Amino acid sequence: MTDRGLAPVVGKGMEALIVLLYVASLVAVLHGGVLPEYRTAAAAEVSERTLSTTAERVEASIPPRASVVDVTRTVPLPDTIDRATYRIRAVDGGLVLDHPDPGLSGRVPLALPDRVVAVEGTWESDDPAAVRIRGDADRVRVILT
Amino acid sequence: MRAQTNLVALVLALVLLTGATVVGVTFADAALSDADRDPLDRHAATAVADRLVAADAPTTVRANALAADAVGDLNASRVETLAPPAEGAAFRIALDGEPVVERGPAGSGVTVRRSVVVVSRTDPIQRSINVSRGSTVRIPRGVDLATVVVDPGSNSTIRTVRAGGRVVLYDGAGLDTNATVHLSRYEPTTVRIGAETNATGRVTVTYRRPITEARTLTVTVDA
Repeated sequence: MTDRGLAPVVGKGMEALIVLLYVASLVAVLHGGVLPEYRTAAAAEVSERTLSTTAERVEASIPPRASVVDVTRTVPLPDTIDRATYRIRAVDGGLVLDHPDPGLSGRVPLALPDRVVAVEGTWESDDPAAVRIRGDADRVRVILT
Repeated sequence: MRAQTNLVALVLALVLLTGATVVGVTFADAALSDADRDPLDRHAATAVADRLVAADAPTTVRANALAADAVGDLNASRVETLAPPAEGAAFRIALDGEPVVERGPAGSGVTVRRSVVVVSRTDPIQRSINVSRGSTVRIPRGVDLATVVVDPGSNSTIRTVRAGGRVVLYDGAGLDTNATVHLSRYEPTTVRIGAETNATGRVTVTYRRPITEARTLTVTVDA
């Protein structure tokens, strides 16, 4: 006689347990595998795009040949990539993105006219970034500030 | 028995939910792979195209006007020097589909197109000015450079050479020179000599007429 009263309680308990187990496994699968993978893939894409758009921005900022050149252009940068700040440095005629995660770092060479003699400076992602171009008709310097 | 029916419904609901999750993740996967547009390849292709047609590039006579002979001399290492983003990448540069430079299979890369004109020059055309008759030479539109050789006869002085009313060569003591003068390429130019009356001698003007053809420059880069 006592069994009959217990049956619905056991049934509800099992239902609750199954739902809990299901939710737990779903959260584990999504957060354990799928989500971090997507986050990394999206971050890698953002990193590549940041590099290529900033490189294009720098290349497009070089004005035509003139006796005095002094141009400043702001460069929009994402504050963080994959929730971490990063920096972009000018190295050896190219731009290098330094990210705490080596997989999200990268390098892009710059295509600049011959009269550009130097590219130097560093951008921090959480500071306003600008590119400054100074020089004369034959020698131009590109400074990341 | 009623409790077990509930259980079956629950399991069915969970299976449906799993299906919906799988479908959602599949869509997310497809969206993510669609969003991958090779920005670095695009940057390299744009950089190569822009550097090839830039006004100060060795391949052009002015912005968007390619010099035919310089284009003929192009090769992979020159393209790399001009545009470092192409380093180590497979690329193909073509004019109206005719390959100019090709390195490696760049079939699946990013393609950038630019409208350009290709400028080739005719063989030198030489025209003489008869100084004693005070004749002139008319240079057609489009010519931006001409070589003027002034060779005055004995006991005569040629002081000025004018092109389109502008003094391009002058020497108060008399010209005897071989000089290159810049002309406007937007209008025909008349070259005239300023000499004293009864002067003799020979003035020759040499120029090359540019022939321009509109073409489409295609740059494909696959890094």
